[in-house]
Amino acid sequence: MTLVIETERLAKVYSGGNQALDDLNLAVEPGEIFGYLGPNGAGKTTTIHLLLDVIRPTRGKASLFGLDVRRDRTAIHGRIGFLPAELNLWNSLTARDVIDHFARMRGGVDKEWLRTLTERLQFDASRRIRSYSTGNKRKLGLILAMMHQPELLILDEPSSGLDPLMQQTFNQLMLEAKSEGRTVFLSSHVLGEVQAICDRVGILNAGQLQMVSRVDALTHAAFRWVTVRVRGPVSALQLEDIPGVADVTVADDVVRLRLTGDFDPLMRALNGIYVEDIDIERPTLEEIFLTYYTPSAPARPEVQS
Amino acid sequence: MTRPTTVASGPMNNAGEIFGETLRRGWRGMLSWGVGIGLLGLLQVVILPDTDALQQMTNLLETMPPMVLQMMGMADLEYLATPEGYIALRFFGLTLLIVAFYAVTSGLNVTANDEERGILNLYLSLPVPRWRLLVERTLAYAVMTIGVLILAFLGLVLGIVITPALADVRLLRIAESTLNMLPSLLVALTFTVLVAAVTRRRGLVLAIAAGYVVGGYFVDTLGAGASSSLVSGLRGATFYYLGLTQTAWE
Repeated sequence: MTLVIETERLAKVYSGGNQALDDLNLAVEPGEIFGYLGPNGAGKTTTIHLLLDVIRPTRGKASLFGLDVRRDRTAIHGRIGFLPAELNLWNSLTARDVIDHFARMRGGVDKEWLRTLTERLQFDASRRIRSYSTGNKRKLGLILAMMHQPELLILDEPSSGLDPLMQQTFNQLMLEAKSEGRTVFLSSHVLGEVQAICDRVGILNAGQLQMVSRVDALTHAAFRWVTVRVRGPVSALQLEDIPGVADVTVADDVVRLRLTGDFDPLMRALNGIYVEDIDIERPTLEEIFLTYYTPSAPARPEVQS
Repeated sequence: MTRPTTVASGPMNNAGEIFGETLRRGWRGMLSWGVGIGLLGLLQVVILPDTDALQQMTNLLETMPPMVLQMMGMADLEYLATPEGYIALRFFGLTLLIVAFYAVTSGLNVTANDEERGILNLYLSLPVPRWRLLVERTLAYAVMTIGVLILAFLGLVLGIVITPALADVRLLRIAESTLNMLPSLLVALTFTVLVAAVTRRRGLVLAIAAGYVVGGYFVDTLGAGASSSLVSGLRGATFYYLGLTQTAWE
């Protein structure tokens, strides 16, 4: 099976010595929605620009559909759709002018699909670019990226600026693309979006890929927040020593702690204490991601990279 | 959603589309520059002093130091006393500099401005080789530079036709003089495009290209009447062979 995106030890050092990306080994399979996550400056956009051959790597190589991104640039670009993080276009033109120009440049655009896409995104293409809001520019960017029904969509922060209804439409469009065998590679800060549509995520920090995991594996393997209500006071010190327990806080008869691993040691420690209630919360995706983004964060969930 | 459409993505796919789109986006600018310069020529010709006034101006200039006259490109004062000399000095000298800046701004439009505004990243994701982007856009701006010259020529011709004192001026020579500016303008345009492609910084490109045009213009104007080998050498190194400040009348 040919991977849709593959990088080998891809690295980029900008002038001034800023290492934006370091030995990136990435593999995205056909038909999946891959979320590419990381804080600002992690190297997400640099990765995308390297995949598009907008900038050249310092070392390493990248391929799309098994083709070299530099040597086979034109052939590759006929099979992809790209949405930049910030859409800038010629302000004096109307959106219709830009769409028509891009359609002619690409060739083979299905006009019926283009009309459907425009309607689903509730986009009015008759206005000049300068008059559009951020959300409307986002819609235009999505139309430009998707109008030729590419095999691979590369989307940089695709839903920033979209209202909740449009976010749902966007999610639906992505899931439809996936069901038709297309591949989506998106960078995002919107964790709900990642959780809703992504099959796998890669987490990037300071130019290095921290891990790659299926989204469901990530949430299931992570820690849990446990809140225990007991009858009578509880010493926090007794719980801190239990394997897998951390961040213990005590307020009157309520203990809140972070538990990684099995419940059994905690249950044994509570033996002999009258437990009125136990509440278990799975962490939000944001909390999981923060464990990868923050150097001083507590133990990371055990997931297969 | 229907199945993916097969898209041809060869290097010459949709050839001419970038050229046409560049013309569509740029024709208003071309019209503004051309009409503006044409009006400048019209006004300069309409207010052309009579022969006596030209001679008086020449007499006045003769009192100035030769070096100053050389720097102003007025080495041949007898020639300046004629209507053709006056047009050559007042219109073509100035027009060349103005249209050269149009060529520089056009060169910036090929890639530098789009890169600065963040448009180029999206554009480069299209299935088009980079060289086609450069070539088609440069050709489109070369055509629009010719358009600016044509409009400038028409403005000047209109002024000559409605000015009785210029009945002897031959329009063919005006056309030759206008055409004579083209190589220098195309050099300025191409130079700006190439600098932009290499440096990829709009401010730097503008500084280098403007310096090239103004510096070349100054050195060529200075060298036009100079005899020293230093200035002649500088002149040879810049625009002399392309005739930046030359008109067909020189």
